[in-house]
Amino acid sequence: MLSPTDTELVTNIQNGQMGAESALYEKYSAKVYYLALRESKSHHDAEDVRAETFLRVIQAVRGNQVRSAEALPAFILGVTRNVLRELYARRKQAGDDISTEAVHLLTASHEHIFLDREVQLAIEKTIQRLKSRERTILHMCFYEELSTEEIARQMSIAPERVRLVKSRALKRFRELHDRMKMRKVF
Amino acid sequence: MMHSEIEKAETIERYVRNQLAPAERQAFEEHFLVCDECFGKLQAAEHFAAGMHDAVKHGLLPGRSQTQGTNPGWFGWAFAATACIALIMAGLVGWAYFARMPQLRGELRQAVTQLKTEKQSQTRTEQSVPLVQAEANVPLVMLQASRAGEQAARVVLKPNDMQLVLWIEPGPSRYRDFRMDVFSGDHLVTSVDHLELSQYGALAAGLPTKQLPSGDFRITLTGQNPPPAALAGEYQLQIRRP
Repeated sequence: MLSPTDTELVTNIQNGQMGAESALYEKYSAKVYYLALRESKSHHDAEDVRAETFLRVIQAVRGNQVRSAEALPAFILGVTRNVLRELYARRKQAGDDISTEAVHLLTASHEHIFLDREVQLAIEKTIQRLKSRERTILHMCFYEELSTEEIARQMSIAPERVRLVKSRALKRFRELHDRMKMRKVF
Repeated sequence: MMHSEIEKAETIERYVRNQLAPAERQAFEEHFLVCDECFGKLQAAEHFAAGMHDAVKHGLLPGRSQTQGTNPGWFGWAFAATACIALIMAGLVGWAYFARMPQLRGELRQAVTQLKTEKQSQTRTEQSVPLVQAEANVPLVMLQASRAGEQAARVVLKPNDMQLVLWIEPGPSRYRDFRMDVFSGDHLVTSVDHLELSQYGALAAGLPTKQLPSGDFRITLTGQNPPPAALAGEYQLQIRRP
């Protein structure tokens, strides 16, 4: 079944249609949670930010405060950012002096929030299939954080080759990870 | 925001690494909020990047220095293999030149000397041993085709007869070349190939008598050349030894 368009969602919520708010939540909840988790680096905070964001968005839609249905994604994004800012402000007031930038500097890799056993296993299997040169390219890319052009220059290969190595490894990882997640679900 | 643009600018990867400019970042976030495909790719890229970091920490993904230290890559291996082969070849050439060649030369000299000695002794033997004398009074038997009902040709071989000559006149024939088979019963005793007609229109074949004990023999003559081969005649021979 196709998910309702933003125009339908806004209209349905404003008309008080049952299930319209759930549909809005279903459509954007994972993405808002991801944004919140990425910024806050905490699953607990991300949950709070998501809940607060949807509360405000639904109230705004009900009160016809959204400029247009087309602007709904940008509106949700703006609300999420506001809620996050308020979270940092509260933290600061509570004596926790870590700013958004500082959080980024301290935990630049997001490793602790996006790593689990399935990811580790899928990465291990992906690396096993790589040639030595391909491993070096991925190390340069994801650990040394060099740009594609810089890696190509240092390895004396074409940038397309670097892109190909990365996309192949990522594709392989995604297949393995999805399979493992499916197995976990069933 | 177009997908081709996202792909080309490696926007997802740069977003994961926090390398996007604020405006670009805002635009991409607005895009993936409505694009499930890009959101899926973004999630995978986040997990992949986190996994790669973790792999480096656990030594699963070695860096350049480690890689170069332990694994020289295909060029390194090729260079090492070539150097090894060159060293082995040089060793072999040196060994052949300094050790094997003098040894081979010595062996060759020895062989030549031995050959000369053998040749000389052979010459002496040939000179000292008298030639086998040509056999005088070789028994000869003329065979006539048995289909005419003639009696078998008879010959008595003396103990010192070494050869028996069979004389056959096959008559007019298209063949230039014949084969003779001598049978004792069904057993082939001996054969003589490439018999040619003499100026008298006859074939003469010498058989060693040691192959011919007392008994009755059937002899077939087969025309061979020009082909096809065909039976030209059959003969009966009776041999007696005193």
